[in-house]
Amino acid sequence: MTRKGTAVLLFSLGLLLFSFSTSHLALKERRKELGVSYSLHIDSFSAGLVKTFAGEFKGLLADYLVLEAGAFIGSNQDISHNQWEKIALAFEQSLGLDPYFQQTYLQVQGDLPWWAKMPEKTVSLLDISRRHRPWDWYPGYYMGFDYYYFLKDYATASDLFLDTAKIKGAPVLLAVLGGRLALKGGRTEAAIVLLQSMLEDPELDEVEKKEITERMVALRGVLLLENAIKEYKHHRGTYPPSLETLVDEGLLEKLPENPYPYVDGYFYNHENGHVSFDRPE
Amino acid sequence: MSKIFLIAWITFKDSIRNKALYGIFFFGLVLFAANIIVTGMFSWEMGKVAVDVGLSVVSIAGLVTIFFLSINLVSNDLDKKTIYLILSRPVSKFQYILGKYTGLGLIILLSSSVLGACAALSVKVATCNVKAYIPLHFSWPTFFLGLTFLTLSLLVVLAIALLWVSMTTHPFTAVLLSLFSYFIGQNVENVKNIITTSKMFAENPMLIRVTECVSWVFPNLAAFDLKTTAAYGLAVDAAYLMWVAAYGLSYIGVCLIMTVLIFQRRELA
Amino acid sequence: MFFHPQAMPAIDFDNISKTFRHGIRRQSALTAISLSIQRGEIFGFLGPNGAGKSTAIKILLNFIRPDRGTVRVQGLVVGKDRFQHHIGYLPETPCFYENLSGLETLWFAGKASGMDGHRIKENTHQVLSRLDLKAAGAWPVRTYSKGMKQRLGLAMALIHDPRIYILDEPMSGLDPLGRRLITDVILDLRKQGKTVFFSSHILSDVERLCDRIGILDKGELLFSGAAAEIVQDGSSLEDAFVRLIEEHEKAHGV
Repeated sequence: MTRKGTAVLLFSLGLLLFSFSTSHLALKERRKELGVSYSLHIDSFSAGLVKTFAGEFKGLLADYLVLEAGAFIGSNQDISHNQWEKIALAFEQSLGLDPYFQQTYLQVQGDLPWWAKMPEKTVSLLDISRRHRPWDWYPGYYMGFDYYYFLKDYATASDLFLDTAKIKGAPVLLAVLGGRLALKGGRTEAAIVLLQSMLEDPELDEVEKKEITERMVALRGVLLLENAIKEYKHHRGTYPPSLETLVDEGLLEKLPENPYPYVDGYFYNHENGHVSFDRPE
Repeated sequence: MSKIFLIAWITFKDSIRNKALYGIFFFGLVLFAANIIVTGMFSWEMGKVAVDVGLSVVSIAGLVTIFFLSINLVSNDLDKKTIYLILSRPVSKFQYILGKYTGLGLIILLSSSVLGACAALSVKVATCNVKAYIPLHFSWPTFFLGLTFLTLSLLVVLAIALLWVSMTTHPFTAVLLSLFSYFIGQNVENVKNIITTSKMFAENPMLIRVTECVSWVFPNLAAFDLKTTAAYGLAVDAAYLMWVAAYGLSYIGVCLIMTVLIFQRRELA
Repeated sequence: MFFHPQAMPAIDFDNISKTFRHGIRRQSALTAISLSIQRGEIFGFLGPNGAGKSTAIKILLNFIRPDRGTVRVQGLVVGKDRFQHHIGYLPETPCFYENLSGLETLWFAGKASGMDGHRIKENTHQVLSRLDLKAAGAWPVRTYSKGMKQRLGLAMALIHDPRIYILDEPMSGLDPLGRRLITDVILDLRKQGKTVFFSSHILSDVERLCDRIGILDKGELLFSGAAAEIVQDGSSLEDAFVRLIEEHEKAHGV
């Protein structure tokens, strides 16, 4: 190539490089202002359809969806309700591709019930994890918590806690909590049976045995009182004015002892006949 | 029989010296290094992510080898008439096809072994810090089981690719048809489930019948996919695996025989 | 050369016809070709481009099937019996597995023809020296020049020492030295009593080497016999050839 030809080529190169860098910088600025630097790309396909596009790479896609949803949540933006719906869908799609992944349910529980205010969606997603991870007590525990705390469904919460308590390695706390909630949800007898069976576990240490025993005793006490109250009402038509009445009327020999040391006896509400072993809310 | 191994051997030797293969291996190694970075983006059970990425890379490398290397090699044989030098000798078309398949299959086995070892290594490295990052039941035997069936799946795709090459004139057509077959194979089970369970399609028996036919003609590649099992160390049903293996090997056999029959009729103009 | 009239021909085309179909068009490639090549002779197969020489050779090698007729090699029926161990074939532009070396290619050729390793080694030595490829034996074929590839192709035809050689344009792409080499090899083969059937454009080579020739045009065999029979009053083979072709094409209104 001639000298002139090369010079022209080099000059054009310089010009184009200049144009390129200027436009690149300008675009960077512009796009930042538009706020499009971080958006969420979740296509609204059902979980079944997403599987079709993933083929044999379902695991990877599941990982990616969790990552994308999590990153978006962590990006410190204000997230609208629509965007939360999309995020929940991303988690659902991810669970459809890989229902075993721990990170998915941890992120679901971490964000959906609290910030997104979607506890129903949360428990339905957690259930998927729970069913696929029978060795893992966390999903059940979280579900129980959500039912108790957000959905105020004590019966289901108690069932979940008690069920999850059976998993090897699950903390005794679950059974104890489950017992408490059982009371609220009318599951007192089931709770007592489970706690009894848990006492037979040889790996329990002394502290754990004590916790279970105490809860059992408390529940038994409540059950005893509840049955006596029921009988009283059956005969007299009203709730007894106090627990002592039950002893006076001969329905009970003596009042059962409340194993918890910080209270004195059981709490009783004569208006609705409720008994509990600790201070009612 | 020895003629088959002879053809397999030169196919293998010729392929392994192909520069393209080095590119694929290099690509694999880079992705394994990337595995470390990718797993770092997750906070829990990264072991499962590492296995996902690792086995997926082995799969992709195998597929790239089939679609861009193997098909080309056989097409070139036919195009450039290298095949004349083989079939003008006492070598039958049957021995040629089987030999070619075996040689190309050996390449796949080699790539799976090498990249599989790298995948295992990258999983080990990615999770070396804390035990809690590895799924509870993960086990290396299950991992290698996943690797084995992934390889079997690739061998099935290779057999289909060879069948398409025997039926077409341009390598491009063969690549397209093979890709198409792969995609159908991966999704036929899922699509069949959607169609048969969704009420939307209940009124359409024709569609259901067509889907059923497709599921018999194309291989159900999803059955070979044990990546999730490998990642979590889930329980493995030995009987199921035996059936999958039988299914895969039978399918390969059927493809090869069909390829031989078609090839016997084909004129080498 | 004395040919026993009752001897079985090395190669025998018996009424071979072949038509190719391109979509709806039909193209007649060969029409009722009958040709015999005797044992121990060098036979030259001539014709303009598109005459059908390659088609005839492909039918001979069982690469394509004729519509009608039979081809026999040493009495064996092509397409039914196994005949490949009797022949050594050199295609027009041989293509190899480029990443293999010359030695490995020859080893493969020998093994494919059923030779044992020891014999292959001996023959390889001999053949490579003969064709001036000794030095290049260990290099990969992709580094070979056109001439070297041609010679390697011939080496593959020679390695298993067959009785019959089928060479498609063996001189194509060779420089004068290469052509001389091939010519010497072919003459050597005749001395050993081998049969050589080759197609060529280079009429001077054909004139020099061949005992008999066959001339093909538009799928029809115009002549088969000794070259001397068509060369009239001192003209060259080339003149005779051109004249024959022109007459034929005129007769067919081309």
